[in-house]
Amino acid sequence: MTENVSSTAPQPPLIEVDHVSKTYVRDGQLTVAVDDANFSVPAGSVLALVGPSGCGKTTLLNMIAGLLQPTKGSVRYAGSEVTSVNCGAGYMTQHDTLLPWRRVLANVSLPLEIQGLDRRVMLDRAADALREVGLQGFERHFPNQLSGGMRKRVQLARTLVYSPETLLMDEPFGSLDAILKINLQQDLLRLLAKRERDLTVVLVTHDLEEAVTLADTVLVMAGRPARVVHVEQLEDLDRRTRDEGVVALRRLPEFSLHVERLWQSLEAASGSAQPRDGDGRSAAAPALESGRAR
Amino acid sequence: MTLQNADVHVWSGQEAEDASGAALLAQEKAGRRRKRGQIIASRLLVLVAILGAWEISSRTFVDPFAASMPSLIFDRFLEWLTDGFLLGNLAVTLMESVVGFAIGAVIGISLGLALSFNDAASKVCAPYINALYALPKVTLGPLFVIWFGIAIKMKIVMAAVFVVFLIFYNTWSGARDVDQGLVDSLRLMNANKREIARKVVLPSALVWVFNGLRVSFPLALMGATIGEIIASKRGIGFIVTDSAAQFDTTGVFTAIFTLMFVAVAVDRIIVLTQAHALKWDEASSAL
Ligand SMILES: Nc1ncnc2c1ncn2[C@@H]1O[C@H](COP(=O)(O)OP(=O)(O)O)[C@@H](O)[C@H]1O
Ligand SMILES: [Mg+2]
Repeated sequence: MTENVSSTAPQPPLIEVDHVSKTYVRDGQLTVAVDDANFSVPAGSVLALVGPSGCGKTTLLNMIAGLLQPTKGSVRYAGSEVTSVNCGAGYMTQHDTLLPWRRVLANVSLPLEIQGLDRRVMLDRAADALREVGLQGFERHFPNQLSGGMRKRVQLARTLVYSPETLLMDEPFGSLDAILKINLQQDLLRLLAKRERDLTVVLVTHDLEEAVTLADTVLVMAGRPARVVHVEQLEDLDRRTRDEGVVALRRLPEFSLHVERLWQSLEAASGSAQPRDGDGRSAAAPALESGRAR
Repeated sequence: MTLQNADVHVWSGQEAEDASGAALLAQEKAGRRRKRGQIIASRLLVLVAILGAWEISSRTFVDPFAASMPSLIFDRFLEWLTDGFLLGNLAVTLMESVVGFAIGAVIGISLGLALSFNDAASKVCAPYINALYALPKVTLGPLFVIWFGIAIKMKIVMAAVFVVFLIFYNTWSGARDVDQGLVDSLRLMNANKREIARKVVLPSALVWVFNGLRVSFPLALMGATIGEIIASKRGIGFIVTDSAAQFDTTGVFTAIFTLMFVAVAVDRIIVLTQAHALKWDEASSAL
């Protein structure tokens, strides 16, 4: 059964995750990171994946990006199976991948450089992208002169600057302070609304409010090995409402209702799937984080 | 730099321009200069102490015939400097070292890069590379005399052989050490292999390459002088053997100190180049 993610899409979905499982082999040990994930994402929609750390979210994104191949099942992108790097997707990884020897501006212009754009156009567009994420004045800094949050913003600018048709974001705003986070969420929503071509987004987060703020659909993953335990449709919070701003959106009673439902599904899953003595989740999380995929 | 400090910097970006910011900067700079002055003064003190102890002991209870002394060495230095003897021989040794170093560096860097792009070849070659790396290169000296004679060519080959493995090894490790996450991020931008090599692998290997170059220039000097000590009529190594043959310890020390000066000067040049080329790398620029 495919959890159909949107009712508004007549065309076939852009991303199809078809009964995908992934088992890691390391030092003779098997880790089932994803077990039978099965969902699809229509073009132009925003899907959020939430779940405790170590439940396979990054692994799933890596498979959609084509950096990893599923052990079982297949990922299809725009109708064809993803067997190598998926160049239609801009990927904002959990750990930033800025080139430390390039200044901020040169990092942001890198994708355009690879596309072979004219140098001046390229630098102009990179500077614009930096301004969009509020980093004007830092063009000539090196990444190691910036804070974690600022590097995330540079990475966001670098991902947006070449307008990929799909955006994969792995805990994009996780390390940012609350105000900045809301601002960037706001920017992202504005961007989703104004892009001439539809932007499809798969967003990994463990911030439930962020998921409800940004997504059309939220998949809750939980358990060991992780499965999709709950699908939350958010079509009642449609984009027109969002133009009023993130803060207004968060005041809507529907908003709290969705967050509450996500929360309950997570609680239920962690309660049943992890019969450990004591606090199973907090005991499992740190150990899992250390071995995660990039 | 901690995350917090950097964040404070974001919000106070304007402040650097106003008066209190400028005062803070000036204060920080003055503090740094003072600390640097103290360190240099202490270094000079150590130098004076060592030279003084040497001079005094040679004038009192140690035989200056065996140990020489700083004042004699200084006189000799001036003498050889004015009659051109020192510079002429130094030029020979420097030429051999620099040419050998350059040849070794070019070969080492290109082989290191070439091999790093081929994982299977890397694995196959690894034990042999390790064996060559571990080999005491001095033992090759007599062989090179047979192959290349006793003229300058032999010393250049010695210098090159002394540096090539280290530079190769560093380049090879550096290029293999490249962060896979960075490579993947470029693959996602649709970069081809050549672009990945140029934009990720090379720059990331550069830190290692520079460290290799820095560590190996003294080895090039060593290779060249060992070649000269084995057989020569010119060069710093020749001064050393020739002076020693005449029991002229002052001459030996003068040659040794000259070589030391040169080694330190070249090291500074490499370090400054490195700091300039690798501005982004805190470890490199802090040197
Ligand atoms: N390269 C890897 N080798 C072995 N195990 C891995 C690797 N990457 C991730 N894992 C394991 O797979 C599971 C899921 O990891 P990950 O996808 O990073 O989870 P999440 O992003 O949800 O925190 C974890 O148990 C983790 O330890
Ligand atoms: Mg993760």
